[in-house]
Amino acid sequence: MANVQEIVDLWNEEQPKYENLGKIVCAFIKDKITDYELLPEIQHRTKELLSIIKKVKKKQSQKEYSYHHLKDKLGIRIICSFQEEMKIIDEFLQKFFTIKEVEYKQENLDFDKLDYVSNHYDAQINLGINEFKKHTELAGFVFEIQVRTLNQHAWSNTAHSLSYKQEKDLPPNLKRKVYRLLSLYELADDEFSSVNKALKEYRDNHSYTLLRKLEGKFYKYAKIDFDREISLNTINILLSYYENETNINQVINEIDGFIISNEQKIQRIYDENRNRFYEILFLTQPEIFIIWYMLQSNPFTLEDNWANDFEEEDLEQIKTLWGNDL
Amino acid sequence: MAINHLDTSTIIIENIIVHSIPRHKKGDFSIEPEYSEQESSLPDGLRVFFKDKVIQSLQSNKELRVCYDVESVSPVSTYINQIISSNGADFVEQSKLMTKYLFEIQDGQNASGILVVIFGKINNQNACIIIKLERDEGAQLELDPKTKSFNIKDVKDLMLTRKTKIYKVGLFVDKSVFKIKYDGSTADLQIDPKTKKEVTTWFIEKFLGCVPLADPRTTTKKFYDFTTTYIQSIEDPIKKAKYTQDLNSYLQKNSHRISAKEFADDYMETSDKDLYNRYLKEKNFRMSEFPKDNSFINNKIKTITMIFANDIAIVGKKGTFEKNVKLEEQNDGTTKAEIVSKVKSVR
Repeated sequence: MANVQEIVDLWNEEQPKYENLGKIVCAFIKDKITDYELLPEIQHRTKELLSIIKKVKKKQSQKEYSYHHLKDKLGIRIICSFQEEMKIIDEFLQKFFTIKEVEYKQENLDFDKLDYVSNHYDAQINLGINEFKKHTELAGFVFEIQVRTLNQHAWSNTAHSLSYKQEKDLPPNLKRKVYRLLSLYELADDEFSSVNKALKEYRDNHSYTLLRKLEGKFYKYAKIDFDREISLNTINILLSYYENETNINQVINEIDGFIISNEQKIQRIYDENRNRFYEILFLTQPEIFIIWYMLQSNPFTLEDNWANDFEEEDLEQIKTLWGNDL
Repeated sequence: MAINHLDTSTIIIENIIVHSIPRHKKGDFSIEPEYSEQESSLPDGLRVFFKDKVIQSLQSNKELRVCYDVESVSPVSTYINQIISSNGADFVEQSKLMTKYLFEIQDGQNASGILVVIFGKINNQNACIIIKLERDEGAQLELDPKTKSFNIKDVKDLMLTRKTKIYKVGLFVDKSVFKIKYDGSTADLQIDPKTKKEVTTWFIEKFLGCVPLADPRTTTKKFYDFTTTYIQSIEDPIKKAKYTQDLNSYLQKNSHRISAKEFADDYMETSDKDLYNRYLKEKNFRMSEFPKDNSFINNKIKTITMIFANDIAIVGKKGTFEKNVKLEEQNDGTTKAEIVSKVKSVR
């Protein structure tokens, strides 16, 4: 049987270390995942002492099991918007962490099982990665990373409250209700994905098309979320400065190349000004890329019209950040 | 890899020092500059402030590429090079020498001033930046007796108040590192009618000992040629005629410094401005100011000739074309020209 006092002592000693590890891993993921043009929600928690004791006791009743077998004393959760992002996050985790075991739940789930698809990883920090090198004392700690979509997360939380997992105890009519609900969540995920894909290819609304092109890039450099309403409004205004459709299409077609060819410069501007975002609000919105593009390609179109809609000092500030070639 | 451009967004300010130059009569050495004996401490917020101010000055239309003039008596280029080559080690001493020289060449006409010298980086290479501020007598700076330096925040406050007039900036590098033909860039933001007639300014020529990178006669001719070629590419004949007359007027204005940006802003429609800007970029011709010298183009800008497809030509003198020839676009794509005057002669 579990020696409770031993677990208490071990956990009292290890919990702060796991907590520290959680902070380090979360900070690392938050910082690096934006390079993949994603901005998922990232959380961590260390397990409650009582949960540890209960889990060990429960497992011990089934097999030989101790405190040391627990893999989820630290849990990291990555919640993304769309299913297709799970694949990108999988690549990311495989690249930057030592993955001891991975379970892609969707692959193993029978069609009639009441559970939801999310990816679980038993992981350790990889000391070959620069940011982890100095944390040798945490190298042996295994932790769990769960990757889910928002829908999977919603299902999981609700289902947890309903304690539905004991499906054998559910009467058929309730079981059917739960199946129907689950299928709705799955369908929602599929539909969100297909809408997302369709919208990315949607070219009828120029402002929307541009924003979709820019948001991933924005996450990469700014590493924060932005106000979509402000963005769409500002992009609408900026595009209205162009006299014809050809010019607007040129912006849409050239903006990616512009950002890529100025990657180092944009990265440097963001790194240097991260602690004064509040002074330069345009830096916290993806339309900043369009403004910089216009300063390079259509400076007069921008400068001749700007003052009708925005503060002149804002443009001065944006120009100063971008600098000029002497 | 050779760096062949200076990107002001990469400026890093490492050291900054401030010296004060009182107003004095020429040759009056009873007054002396107040020298800092060490660099001023520079908190991050102020570092950003000075970087922004330097970029804004050099981003203005007043920015001009310059070279050290081998015939100049100014020793400032030697001091600048010493700062750059010593990696900033000789920064304090050289900045004091610059201040001493500035004090010596100033006279009672010059307002009291502040010389801010910066050692830093641009594109990760050493750079020396000089800012000269002029100030009213009421705006005083006090040397801290303990640190023997001026408080850089006081300089910022002066720059933000009306007590300090607009300033002048010069940024210099080792041109061999950048594989460029000029030693630096300057911006003289002083708007002073007294200096307006000078081709280069007192600050650039006398103090820094610099001349513009290119011969103003050549730059002016290039400006004229490129602008004319661009105007010729415009399809609308009426617009073409208007811009041609505008160019001639612009070049004959009583101004000693001109720029493609000013020309575009004053005369062109927005969409044409951007195309013009793009065209000049392709030709490596800059939009910022340069000293005007019409010597090579005087003959070209005196008359305008408009030749029609039916071999009729109208020749007009500067400034009179627009007034006396009424052009009107017809529905069939032709242009109607109307001249109402007496026939003076037929040749």
